Amino acid sequence: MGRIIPLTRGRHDEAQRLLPWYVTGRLEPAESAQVEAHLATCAECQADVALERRLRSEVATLPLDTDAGWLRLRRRLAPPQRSSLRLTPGLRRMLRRLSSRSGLVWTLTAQAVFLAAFLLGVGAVLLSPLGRPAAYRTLGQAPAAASGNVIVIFRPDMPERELRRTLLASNARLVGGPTPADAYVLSVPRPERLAALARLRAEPGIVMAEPIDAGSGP
Amino acid sequence: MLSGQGAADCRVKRRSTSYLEEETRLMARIQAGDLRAFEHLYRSYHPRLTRFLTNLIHRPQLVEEALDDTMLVVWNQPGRYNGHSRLSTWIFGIAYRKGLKALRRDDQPVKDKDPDGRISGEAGPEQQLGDRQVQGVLLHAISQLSPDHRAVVDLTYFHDIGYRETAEIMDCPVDTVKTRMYYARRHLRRMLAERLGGEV
Repeated sequence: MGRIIPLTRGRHDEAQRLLPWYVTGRLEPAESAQVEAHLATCAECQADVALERRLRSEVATLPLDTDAGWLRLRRRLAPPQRSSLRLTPGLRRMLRRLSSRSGLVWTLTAQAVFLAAFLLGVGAVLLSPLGRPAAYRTLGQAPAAASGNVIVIFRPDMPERELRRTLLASNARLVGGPTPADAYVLSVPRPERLAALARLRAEPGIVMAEPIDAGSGP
Repeated sequence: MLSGQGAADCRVKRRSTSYLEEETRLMARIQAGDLRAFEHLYRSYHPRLTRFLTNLIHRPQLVEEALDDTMLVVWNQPGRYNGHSRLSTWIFGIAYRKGLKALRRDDQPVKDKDPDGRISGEAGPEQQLGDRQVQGVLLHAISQLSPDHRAVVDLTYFHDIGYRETAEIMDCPVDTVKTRMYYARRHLRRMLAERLGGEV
C-alpha cells in the first residue's frame, strides 16, 4: 500500500485518475466539469482522452452462447417453491416509489403475483424445460391444461360475448381455468403465439396475457 | 470533444431510471417464483457476467460454474436484494465474490504480492504476439493484470460502471478503485505503446 498515489498531487493527477470514467460518461457533473477545466489547459491529458477512448473501444465483446448457458443452468433449477408470495420490504418500497410515476406498477406486480400463484398450482408441468418430460408433477394436473401455452386474466366485468369475440380474434381456445387467481389457460397455434399475445394484450378486457412455457420464448 | 457531456448525463439518467423500473419489476416477479422472469434476467445478464467472469477468472469451466452459482443466488435468495443499490451492482457483487472463490479453489493467486505492479509472472514477451491485431495485444495485456485490476478495467471500460458502483461491487474504498485503474492503465499503455503509439 506504500505506493498508493496521494490524493493531493494536484489537478493533473486527479484528472488522470478520473479520465476513464470521464470517457465513459460516468462522472458526477461536478467531477466532469473539473476534468474538462483541466483538459482545456493540458495537452497530455487531451492526448490521454483519445487513448482512453481507443482503449475502451478495443475492449471488444466476446462471442457468447447464452442459449447453452441457460440450458445448463435450467437443469440445476428447482421448481419454484416460494413459501410466500410477499415481496421483501425493500422491493415493496421501491415499487411504491415507482408507482408514484406509473399507476401500472401495482397492476403489473399484482399480475406477477397472480401468475406466480397459478404457476405454483399447475405451472410446474407447464414450465417443464424445453419440451422434455418434467421431473416433477403436481397431483392436480389437468390434462387439458397441458396443451395451453398462454395464460390470461380477464377483467371481471368483461361480457361473455366480448370474451368469445376476443378468443376468436386471437385464434385461441380456452383449455383450462379458472385458477385460484382467476386466470385461464389458452391454447393458440404456436407459430401465431407472438401475434396472439400482442392482440390479447391490446384487448381492453384482458388484464394480463403471458406465455407459460419455458421453451424458446413466445 | 468536450461538448455534449451534459446531454449525455441526462440520457444516462433517463436510461438508468428506465432500467431501475424494469429491474425492480423483474425482481418482484422473481421473488414471486416466476421462472420466465428469471430466464429473462438470466439472458439479460449472461453476456455481461460471462464477459466479467471470463476476464476475472480466465478459465472457461470455472467461469460457467461461477456464473451459475451467481444466478442461483439470485433465484434461490432473491430476498437478499434490498433495493438500496442497482440490481446490477448486487448481481455483479455476487459474481465478483463467486469469481474470487472459484480462483481460490483453483489455487490461483487472487491478489498480487505487489499491488502496484499487478503483472503476473506468466507474462510472455510481446514479440510472441507476432502479427496479432491490436485487440489481441490489448487482451493479452489485460490478462497480465491481477484479477482485481482486471475487474476494475472490465467494469469501467466494458460495463460502463462508475468508480463508486465498482467500489460497491468489489467492497473496497473508491480510492482503491481509482488507484487500481490508474496502474492498470499505465500497464496497458506501456504494453500497447508500440501498437497504438502512432495511431492516437
